[in-house]
Amino acid sequence: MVVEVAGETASGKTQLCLLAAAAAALQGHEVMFVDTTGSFKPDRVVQLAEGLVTGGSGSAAAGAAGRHDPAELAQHLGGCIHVHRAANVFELLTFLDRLDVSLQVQQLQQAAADGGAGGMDWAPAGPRLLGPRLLVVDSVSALLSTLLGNAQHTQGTTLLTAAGRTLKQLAAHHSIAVLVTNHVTSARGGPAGEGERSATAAAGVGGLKPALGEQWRPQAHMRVQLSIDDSQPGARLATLTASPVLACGHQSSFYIHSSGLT
Amino acid sequence: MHVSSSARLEVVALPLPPHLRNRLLATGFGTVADLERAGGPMGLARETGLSPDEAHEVLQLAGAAGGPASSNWRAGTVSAADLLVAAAATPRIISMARDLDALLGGGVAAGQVTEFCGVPGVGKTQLGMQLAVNVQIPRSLSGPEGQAVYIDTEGSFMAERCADIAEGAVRHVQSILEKKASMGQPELLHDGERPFTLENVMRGIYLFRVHDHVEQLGLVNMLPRFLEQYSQVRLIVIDSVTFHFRQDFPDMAQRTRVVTGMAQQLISLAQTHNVAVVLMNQVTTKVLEGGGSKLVPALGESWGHAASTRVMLTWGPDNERHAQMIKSPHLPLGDAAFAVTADGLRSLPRRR
Repeated sequence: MVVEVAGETASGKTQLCLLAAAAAALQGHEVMFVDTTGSFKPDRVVQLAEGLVTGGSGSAAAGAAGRHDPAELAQHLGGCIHVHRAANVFELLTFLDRLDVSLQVQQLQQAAADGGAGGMDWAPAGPRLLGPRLLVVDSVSALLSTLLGNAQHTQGTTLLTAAGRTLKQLAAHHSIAVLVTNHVTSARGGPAGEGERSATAAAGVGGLKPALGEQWRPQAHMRVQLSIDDSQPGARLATLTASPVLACGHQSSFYIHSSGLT
Repeated sequence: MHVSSSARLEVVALPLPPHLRNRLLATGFGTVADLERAGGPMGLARETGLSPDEAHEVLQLAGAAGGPASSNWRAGTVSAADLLVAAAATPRIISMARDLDALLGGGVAAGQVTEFCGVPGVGKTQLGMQLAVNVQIPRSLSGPEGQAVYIDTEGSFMAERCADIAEGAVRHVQSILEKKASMGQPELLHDGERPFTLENVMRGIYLFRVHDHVEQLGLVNMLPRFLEQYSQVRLIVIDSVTFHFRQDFPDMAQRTRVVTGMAQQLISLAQTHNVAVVLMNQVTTKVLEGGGSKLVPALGESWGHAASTRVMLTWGPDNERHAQMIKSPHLPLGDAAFAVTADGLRSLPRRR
């Protein structure tokens, strides 16, 4: 499943990504974090994880019970989270492709080592899953928005869909949760009459819609749009704008603290 | 058993110039695996009609992208633990204003892009010059002991003023060293090959003056090579990053594309060379729906993602300069007052 978090600057996208990474690592899962904007901060991840442990909320804390020593916690988290830095979309695609291929190789090796049924046994309840359980790309739009525009339109769109497809393939083949972030552009909108069609989905929240255009929109299975709530200081508003299972338009507000998000 | 390396990576996903890419696609080379089976540069040249040189280039690119498939999916990544250690080991660049440093988590960090926005006269240039001086604070005082690149786009860099700030910093550092020497660390006074003096500090700032956005983009393109030559550089200041992009741009979509491309280059520059990149940005008035207005950083919504840390400099109600952290991946949002004195940036005298 590919989940997209869209939102304006400083609306908490990266915080959400770091929190997800911290929570997954606490449960002992491996995390692949593709950082394209230089915003991955290991100290903040450790801080968030400490908040999760001491807060005792959620299932994450149960898995890491007894791991209260901060240094040990940092060590554990650091070992679970792998960071890759991509400077352009070609690097990103190459990296994702290599990840896919090497995971396949590993799976085959595992199957061979197990012997018996060999490579034909693709039962989902098969051997222990290898590789990362969570793949974060923060942010996907920083790379892709350099390509979109009139002059290089066709190539930009091709790369856009290639990136989307690769992410979905990874998610499906290796049962990885994929979390990507996108920024927003102002939904200046066409003529007034056009606004009627799929009003909430296209118009977004507060006059802002996710960037990267119509081509990217179907690439993510689920989309959450974050915005800054002006009515209360520090409050962020999360709106579910696309989901295959849940009703859209549901809103919830949260705050960002030093120890986590509430 | 053997899975070919990057068999599915498509030709469109390679950074090829359009004419080569189109030729490859037109002659039926869809994926990197197809290219690998073409029989070397000569074979590929024969089949596609490219020159052997071009074919060689294509295969090199494909080889670099494909490479041997490693069975370790972690290849090409850095573990967060290593990053944590590296981040702790790199000294930060202080601003000499105590509260502002606290707001920034101890100063401007290397390896990332920090943006300061503010109205004219609030102290952006002063801060830029101060940082260019402070990046040279010797290691014996846990400074970065580096050098600075200062890219001036507005013509606001005043060498005399910078000398004032440098002099203030030199005096300050000297007094600290003498204090430490009197407390039994005399070896600090005779420090290394490049003592912290006014002349050395001024020599350690490489100034570029750019006159239009083409020059600015060209310079950003060239910076990696400059940094390879001058490995001492630990800080790049662009004052201001905005100026040339606020004029002569009739096509806003084009501007967005160009500035995000520049942002991406600066981010990767910061990371690969482990330098601090400091950008000065102007502000613009945004009209709100209710009819009111507020000051927001210029260059629009998509530029907001360029800098991972963003600080807004404003005039506070108490007629003092204030710095407000408005975006940071790891620091709490907050506010700090600072003053610009003859010697450079300082924090306000403590209130009694």
